[in-house]
Amino acid sequence: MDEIILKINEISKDMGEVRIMEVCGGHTNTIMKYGIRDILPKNIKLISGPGCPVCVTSQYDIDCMIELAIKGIKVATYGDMTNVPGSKMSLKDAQELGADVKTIYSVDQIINDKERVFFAVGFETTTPMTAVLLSKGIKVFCAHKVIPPAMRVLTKEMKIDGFIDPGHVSTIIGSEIWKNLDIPVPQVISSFKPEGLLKATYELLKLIKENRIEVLNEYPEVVFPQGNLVAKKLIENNLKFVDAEWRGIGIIPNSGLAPINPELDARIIYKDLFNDVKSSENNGCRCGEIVRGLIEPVQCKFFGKECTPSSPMGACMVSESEGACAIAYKYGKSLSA
Amino acid sequence: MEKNEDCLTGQCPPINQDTNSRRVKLSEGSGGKEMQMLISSLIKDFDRSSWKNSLDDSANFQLPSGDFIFITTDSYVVTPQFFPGGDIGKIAVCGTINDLVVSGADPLGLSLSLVIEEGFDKDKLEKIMKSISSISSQTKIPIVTGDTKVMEKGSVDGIIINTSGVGISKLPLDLPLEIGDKIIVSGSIGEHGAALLSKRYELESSIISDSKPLIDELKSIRHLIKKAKDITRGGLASVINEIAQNSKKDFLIEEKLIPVKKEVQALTDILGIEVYNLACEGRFICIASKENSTQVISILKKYNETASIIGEIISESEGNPYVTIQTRFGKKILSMPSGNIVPRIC
Amino acid sequence: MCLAIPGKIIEIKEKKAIVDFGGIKREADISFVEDLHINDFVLVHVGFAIQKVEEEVARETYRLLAEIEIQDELAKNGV
Repeated sequence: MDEIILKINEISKDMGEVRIMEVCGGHTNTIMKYGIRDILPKNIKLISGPGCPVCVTSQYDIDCMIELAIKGIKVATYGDMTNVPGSKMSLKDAQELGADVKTIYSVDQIINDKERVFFAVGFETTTPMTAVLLSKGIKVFCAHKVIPPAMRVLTKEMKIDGFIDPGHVSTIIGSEIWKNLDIPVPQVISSFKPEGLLKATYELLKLIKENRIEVLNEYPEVVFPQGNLVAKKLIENNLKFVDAEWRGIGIIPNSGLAPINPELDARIIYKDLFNDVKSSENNGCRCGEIVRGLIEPVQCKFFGKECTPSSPMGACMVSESEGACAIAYKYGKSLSA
Repeated sequence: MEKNEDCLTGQCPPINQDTNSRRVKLSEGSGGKEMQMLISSLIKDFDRSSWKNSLDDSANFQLPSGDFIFITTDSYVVTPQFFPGGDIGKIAVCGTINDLVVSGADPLGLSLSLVIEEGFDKDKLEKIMKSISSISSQTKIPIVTGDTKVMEKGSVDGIIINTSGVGISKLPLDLPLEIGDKIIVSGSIGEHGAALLSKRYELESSIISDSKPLIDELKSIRHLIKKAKDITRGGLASVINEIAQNSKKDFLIEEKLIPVKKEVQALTDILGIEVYNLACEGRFICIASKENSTQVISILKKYNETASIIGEIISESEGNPYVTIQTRFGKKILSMPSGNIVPRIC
Repeated sequence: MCLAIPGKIIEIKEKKAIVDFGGIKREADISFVEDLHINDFVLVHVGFAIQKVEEEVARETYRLLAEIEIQDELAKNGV
C-alpha cells in the first residue's frame, strides 16, 4: 500500500500540475471515504466529473416526474433520486403530501406493478435492469445516460490530462469501447477499492508522463473486452439512443436512452401532463459547474450554509455517495488542503 | 396517509403543492445536524433556571441535601416495531434508563405513555408491554405512572411510546476533558440500525439489535471515567461530534480500532451507507484519562469483548471542533450525520 | 456510480439465486450471466448479477471483513 504511494510521489515529482478526472461517482466516493486526496502529491489534482446519475439529471426531467406523482400517478425510483429538489419540491416532498412514490433498491420490487411508472436514472450499469422492466411491459420515464459522449465534450472544453474510467459501467459495455472514443488523453479503467484506485492513478500518471494515449484495464477481474453480452443485447432490444440534456452541460447528441416501444415511454404517454412543467435552475446553485469539474464545492457560496444534504439547493448536494457536494459535506475537504 | 388509489389517469384532484421551508422535515428528527438546529431554534426562549445540562441526555438539579436529581424523557417510534433482538417496548425502556445512567445517575423510576392507533393489534400491544415489564423487573427499575391515548386510524403510525425517567446521584458524571484522554466505545457499533435496515430492505441476516440496559456496565466503570454518552440515532458519528463540540476539543479516532461486526459491515457495503451513522441502543462512548483507560477496557470487556479504545483527544480546537478519522489511507473528517439514511443504489 | 459487490451463490431457482454477501443474504436475478452454479461468486448491482467473479477476487474484497470476523468470533465467545 505505502509502496504505491511512494511510486506515485516518485513519478509525479517533475510532472507539474496533472489534472485527472474520475467520471464515476463511485470513485469519487472511494476518494473521499479513504481521504485519498490527502495522501496524493499536491500537483496531482483529482477532479470529479459528471458521474453521479442524479446530479446530471436535468431539472426538467425531475420536474416532470414530480408532476406525474402529484397528479396521482404511481411512481418509483431509486433511493437518492427521491430527495433531489425539483423547481418546487422533491419526490420525497410530494410523497409527504400524499403522492405514491416508491423508493426501491431493485427493479424486481416493481416488476409486476403495471400501473407504476419507473423513473429510470443511471448509467450503463443500471440500464439493463430498466430494459428488463420494459421487456415485462412496465412504463418508464427514461433519464438514462451514457458516459462516453459526455467525456468527449469535456475534453474539448477543459484541460484534462487523463481519465479514470468507470469500473462497473465497463463491466457492462466492455473495455474495447473506450479505445474508439477519439479522446486525446490516456484512460485507465479502475476498481473501487482504494488500493485499486491508487494503482490505476499510478498507471495513468505513467501513461501521461510517457505521452501514451492508451486505454488500460486495471479491473480485468470483472471487465472484459466485450462486456456483458446478454445485458447489452437486452438494452439494444428495448432502448434506443436519443439526444439528452445533462445538468450543467446541456444537450449532448446521442447521450441518452429512450424506450423503443412508445407505449411504454412515459414521456410520450403523459406528454399532455408535462405542458405545465416550467423548470428553473436560477437559484444560484453552481451544480452545473461542479459536475463539469470547473469549481470545487467549497467555492460555491451556498455550500454548507443555505445548501446542505437535508435542504439541498441542487442535485450535487443530494446523492450522499456520489454527489460531489454531498460527499464534500460529509467527509469534509481534504485536511491538508 | 391518503393515497389516490384509483387515480391513475391524471384526472384526479392535484395534491396541494404548498410546500416550503416552514414545514418540519423528516430529516430534522434523524439525530443529526438538522435536529440540533431545529431544537435550539424551538427552545431558545425556555427558562431552565437552575437545571443543568438541559440539552444533554438528561437534566439535573442539586437538592438542598446536596444530591443531584436527574430527569430525562424520550418518545419512541420505530419501523418496524418488532425486529431481531427486541421491539419498540424494549428500546423505550432501555433508552431512558441509559440516558440516566450515562449521566451518572441511579435510575429510581420511569413513567410510560402510550399513544395507540385505532385498530392496533392487541397481541402486538401485549407483546410490547411484556418486553417493557421484563426489562423493568430485570433492572429493578419500576414503571410508576403513565398515560394511554387511542387516536383515530391514520393519525399515528401504529404506536408511539414515551418514557420519562428520574434518577439520583451524589454527583453528575461530567468532568472536564483533557488532551490525551482516551475515547472508548463499549462494543461493536451499528447493530441496532443494521437490524432495522435489513428487515426494512428484505435482506436476510442474523444481525440482532444491540438494545440493552447499560446499568451494570456504567456502574462498574463510573469511578474511572470522565464522561459517557449512549450511542443512539445518528450513531457513533453524532455522539462523538457532540462530545467534541461540548468540550471544544479536537478528537482523532482510528478506523481500524472501531469494532464493527462483519455482517454489519457487509450490510453497509450492500446499501452503500456509512456504518458510523447507524443507530445503537446498547452501546456508549466514554472518555477516560490515559492512566485509567486500560482498566476501563478490561472491565468493559467482561460485558462485551469488542469494547475498545478508538482514539484520543488531540488538541484544543481553534474555532469549530473537528473529529478526524485516520483511515487505512488518508485522514478525513467525521462529520455530524445529515439527512435520512437511504440506500445507495447506483 | 454503480455500487456493485461480490457475493456467493448458495441457491439457484431458475433465473433467481440467493446470494450471500458476507453473511447478508438476498435474492438476485441471474439472467444476465450464463452458466452459473452454486458456490460461484457473482458481482451484484441493484439486485442483478452483472458478472461472474473469481473466488479469490471476491475473497480479497472480503479480506478486511474477515479481519473483523476474528473480533466477531471473540465477541461470541466472550459474551
